[in-house]
Amino acid sequence: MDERVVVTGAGCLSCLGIGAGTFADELLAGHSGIAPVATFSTDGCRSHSAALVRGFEPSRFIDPMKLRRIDEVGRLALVACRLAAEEARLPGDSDRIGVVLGSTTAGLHSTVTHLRSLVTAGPAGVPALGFSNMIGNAAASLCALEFKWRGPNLSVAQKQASALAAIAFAAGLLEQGRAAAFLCGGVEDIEEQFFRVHDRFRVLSPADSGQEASRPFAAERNGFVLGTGGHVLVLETASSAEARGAAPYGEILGVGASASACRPNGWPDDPAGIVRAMREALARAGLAPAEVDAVFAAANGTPQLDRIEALALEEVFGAFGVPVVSIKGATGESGASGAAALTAALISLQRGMLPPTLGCEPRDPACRVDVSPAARPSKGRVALVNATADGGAHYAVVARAFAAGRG
Amino acid sequence: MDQSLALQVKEAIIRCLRLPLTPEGIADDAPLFGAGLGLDSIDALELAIELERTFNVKLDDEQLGKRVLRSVSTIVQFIEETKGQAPAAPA
Repeated sequence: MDERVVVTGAGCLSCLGIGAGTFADELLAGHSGIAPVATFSTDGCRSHSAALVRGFEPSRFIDPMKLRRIDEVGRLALVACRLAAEEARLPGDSDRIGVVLGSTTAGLHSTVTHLRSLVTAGPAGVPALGFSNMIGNAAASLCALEFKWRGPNLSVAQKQASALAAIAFAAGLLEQGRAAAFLCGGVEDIEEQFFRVHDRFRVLSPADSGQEASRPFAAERNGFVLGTGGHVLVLETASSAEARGAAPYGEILGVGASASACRPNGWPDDPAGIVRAMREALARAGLAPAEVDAVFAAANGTPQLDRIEALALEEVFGAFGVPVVSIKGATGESGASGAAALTAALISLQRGMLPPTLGCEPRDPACRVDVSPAARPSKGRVALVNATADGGAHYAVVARAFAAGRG
Repeated sequence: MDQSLALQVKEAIIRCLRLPLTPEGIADDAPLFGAGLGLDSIDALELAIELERTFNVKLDDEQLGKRVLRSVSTIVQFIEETKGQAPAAPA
């Protein structure tokens, strides 16, 4: 019991390219993955941009006879898990390795296809092949089947906090000795209807004012930009990693979770929930706020979320009390965000740098947080990663990056 | 065997099962399931629905399904028997 938990691999399929190293390189270089949507129509929408996975050809990774039966989210899951496992040199065929994946859109593509066929062609027109993809746990199950990981298998749906929730649950199970390692993180892909629903809810940054962009903590922020991605980490007990001779990226020091009572699709009115999640994660890590070197924020350019997270950071760390980064200026928002942020935190802190927060200027004077539009050096290697979902779920993870190649 | 019907059956199999193959890649007598093309029970379900949709033949019991879905040849034979004449054009 009370095993230490380390991170021994990362797999990234992102809007900034394929591979965790590429992802971190691009973030640190200040590149954005946000672009006009070309894969489906946004005609009649207020918004027309998204941060969609770039350069991913599933047929390069998945046998074509298997590929024909796996939908978009499943493809991201399989390949992100494979990249993470390869980097960690994690074996397949094990009772001690499990999978915890977070997703808002698992099953979405197949469900949309199913319903469209049902409406246009009737029950006999519905393809049976896609049915198994419609189930919310399809992606995580698929990964277990493919790699024969027979440890605990979980699927988490916590909207924008899904991936960090998955990581938090995996870390907890590892601390309890329930498995030796988990593939955990987030997988998200979107399609036209999902985009249009968000557009109709008026939560996306609109183009009609000529200012469509992701602008965490900025004065003129006006909504988020939808993103996609497969971001999976290998979390492993320190004893397992040591026995295998793995070289960890870093260590998970503590996790916290809380909820705010707010409307199902609304953001909380006050910072209390975020404060509780961060304080729990710090307490479990045995660290004081002053010992945190950087916060990777949940802020996504939504006026209310960024405001309450800034208030929460001010309450825990003091005004401008800790360097803050939101990678969502470059990656947009998705259920995979938390795993993307933890990956970014571990690799950039390993290199002694912090990525920029694209779009953060001009600043909102009401958000008293230390963000920078440019990459900057970090004085230490401890990060706190936040994730908040509309509807009020909050997660925080405190992690320490190791110097490259050392545990 | 009616080669034109065999081609239609192969095209239907490839279309409904999204197979990464061309009709030339499926031999008339090659087993569709197990060691042959490697199809499984979900493929069988999809294929039965497609045969009904395209050729208007019903595979409504399991034993019949197992006998008919063995290969392209057995499917063609079943369609010809059911129709008792030249097959109808695909729907």
